[in-house]
Order: sequence, then structure tokens, then C-alpha cells
Amino acid sequence: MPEPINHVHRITTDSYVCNTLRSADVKKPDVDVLCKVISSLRIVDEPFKELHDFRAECTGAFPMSQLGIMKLNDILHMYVCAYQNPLVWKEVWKRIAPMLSHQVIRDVETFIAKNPFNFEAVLNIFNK
Amino acid sequence: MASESIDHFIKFCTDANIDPSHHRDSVRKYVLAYQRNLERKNAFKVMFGDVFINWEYTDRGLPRMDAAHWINVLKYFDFSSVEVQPKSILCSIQHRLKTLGLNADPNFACRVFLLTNMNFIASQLGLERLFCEYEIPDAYNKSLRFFALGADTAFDVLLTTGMFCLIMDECKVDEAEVEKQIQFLKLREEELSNSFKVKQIRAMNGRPRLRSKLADVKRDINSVEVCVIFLLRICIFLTFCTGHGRLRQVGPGGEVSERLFHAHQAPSLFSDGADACAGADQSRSSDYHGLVCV
Repeated sequence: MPEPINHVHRITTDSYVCNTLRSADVKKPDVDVLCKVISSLRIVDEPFKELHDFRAECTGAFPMSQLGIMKLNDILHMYVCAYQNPLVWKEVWKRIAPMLSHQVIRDVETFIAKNPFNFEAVLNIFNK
Repeated sequence: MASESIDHFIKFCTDANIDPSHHRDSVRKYVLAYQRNLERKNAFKVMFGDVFINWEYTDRGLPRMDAAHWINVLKYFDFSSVEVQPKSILCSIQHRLKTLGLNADPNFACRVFLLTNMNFIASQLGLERLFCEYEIPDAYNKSLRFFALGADTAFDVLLTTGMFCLIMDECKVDEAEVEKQIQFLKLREEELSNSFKVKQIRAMNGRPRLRSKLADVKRDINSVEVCVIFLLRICIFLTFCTGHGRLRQVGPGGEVSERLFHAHQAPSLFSDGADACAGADQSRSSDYHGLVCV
């Protein structure tokens, strides 16, 4: 799995920030900030392959009524949520997605175990 | 009302995954997504190339908008520069408007064309509303007569698509005004969000609870007790200095008795007095009613 730190240079070129992040060990991520950043993501390009796969594999436990009103941006938010720190991803998910059940947890954990996070695509969305 | 239309437009951009920073393109995509009687996907490709738009949303999830909304959105467009070609749909519209004795300039004719092809609204109702906006008398009958005059006109989807593309290509969009409205909405949203936060803080912290009130009262009582005890200590200290003192005790019937004491008796008196004061405050009633060191 690629290290997130390898992609920091795509967000900032500040060497001080890069070095600090390299040595930083975040034990308890701030859920509020994560939710704020994830909720602000908007996709304006063709969705990447992993997003389609995520939709197909991880939304099976959702009721049809909720799937009907779910937009592409919502799927993107859930995709990014799923790859957050294992300590907090469920908390972040609960704040962003309409539901979290045992089946959803199983689906998401299976998905993230076999699919690496698409840093390239998500960082492109960040930088738009 | 203008800002409300832009509010819907921003929501559309978010849901249809359109980049809202290019206002001209975004507004044109918005109008196209709601058009009917034409090939939308082909028109989109001709106008914007291979740019992404969420067709799944535009085909199934679009909210219904009324004629007033579209009349407001079309106010951001200027169709004066659209060239009217002979025997085109626009030319036919102009001819019918002229027959009805109405304004037939391209600016108005294009609005009529777009509004009558707008999804989720009845063409006649849309046109009637547009006539009302332009203060045209007898709007209902004129709108009916407009459609009656075009009843024998041939209908072709490709021609309509071509006409739409031409209009959208040659029209101008008041991007400055759109941007102004967007900024206004952002400011309003921020203000509302801040105001909500303040209200939330007030709701959480502003109203004192009963237990907090009781704690405050208790703290006040304690502070009075401490003062009394402190004063008693000073009295005892002065007694030490003078060598003797008098203790005045007030009984239950109000009778006053005094007794003289010497310095070596003071510590025990002090503790009695302090206990008595504390006892009085805590409502432990006894035969003791008052104690004054003189």
C-alpha cells in the first residue's frame, strides 16, 4: 500500500510542513476536521474506476430509497471515509453517510483490504 | 428571487458534477439539462465537447422547477446578438409574435423558444407567465393563440437541437451578475451558519440549570460563614491582647445574658462560637440564638 506521505508534495511544497508530517505520528485524528474536508470534496470529472467498484461492492446493504437519492459526491465522500484511520473511520462515516451496519462494515473492510486508495484521483479532486 | 434561482443553480452544479467556476458554461449546461424535444446528449457534445456531466442525475434526479424560476434564470442571458436565419424555428416564432402584435426581437423570441421547450412546465403556462412578466395584456388568450398559429408547423427534433445549439453559442451570459449572486449567497450562508453556532452555544451554556443555581447559593452561604468566623477570630485575638472580654448571649425569648471571660478561656469560646454560627446557617436549631463578643 503506498504511503500517504509520498503524496504530500502534491498539496504543499513547503519543506518544513513536509518534514514535520514525515516525523509526525497522528494517534487521534480530529474527526471534525476530517468530516469538514471530506464533505467539501466535489467530483467534476469522470469518476475513477475504484469509485465505481466501491459503489458496486459497498452499497449493497443500503436500502433502495437511500440509494435512489445518493449522488456521486456522496459515494466519493464514503470512499474517502472508508480509508481513514481505523480508529475513527466509523465515526466519520456515521457523520457523513446515512447508515452504518455490520454488513456495511464488512463490505467496506473487505473492499479496502483488496483495493489500495487511489491517491492520484482523490488528490486531483482536492486540487481542483 | 434572483438569488433563489442561483441557489438552485449551484445545487444543480454540485449534484450534476459540473464545475461551477466557469459561469457561462455552467449556466448553459443548466438550461440544456432541463430542455426537452431535443437530443440533449448530442447538443452537449457539440457545445462542450467531452466534458463530464452526470447524465444519471440529469436523466432521473432533476428537481422540478417552475416557469418563474426559468424566467429568472433567463434574465442572466442576453440573446440580442443571436442571428435569426430565414425559415428557422426562431423565424417562425418571430412571425407568430408579430401576428399577435408583440415584441418580436431575437431577445424575446429566444426566451419564448427556450421556455416553451423547458421540461417539467406546461409550455402554455410558461408562455403566459412570460407574457405577464413583460406586462402584455390578455396573456392567457395570447399564449393560446401563439400555439394555435404554430399548429401546422413541422416538428423536427434535429432542427430544434440545432436551433438550441445556435442560440446557446451566440448568446451572452452576465457572468458578473451570476458571480455577484453566488458571493451574496455564500456570505448569507456563512452568516446563517455563524448565527446558528452562536445560538447553539447559548442553548448549551446560556441557561443556568437548577443545580448550578443551588451551587452558587451554597457558595454564597459559605462565603458569609467564612466572614463570620474570620470576625470571631479577630474578636478573640483582641481579647487576647486586652486580657479579658465579655460574651453576650441572646436567648430564645430575646433575653440577653453577659459573661466575662479571661484570655485562657478564649480558644474554647472561639470553637463554640464558630460551631454555633455554622449550626445556625445549616438550620440546626438549638437553644442558641446569638453570640456577640464585646
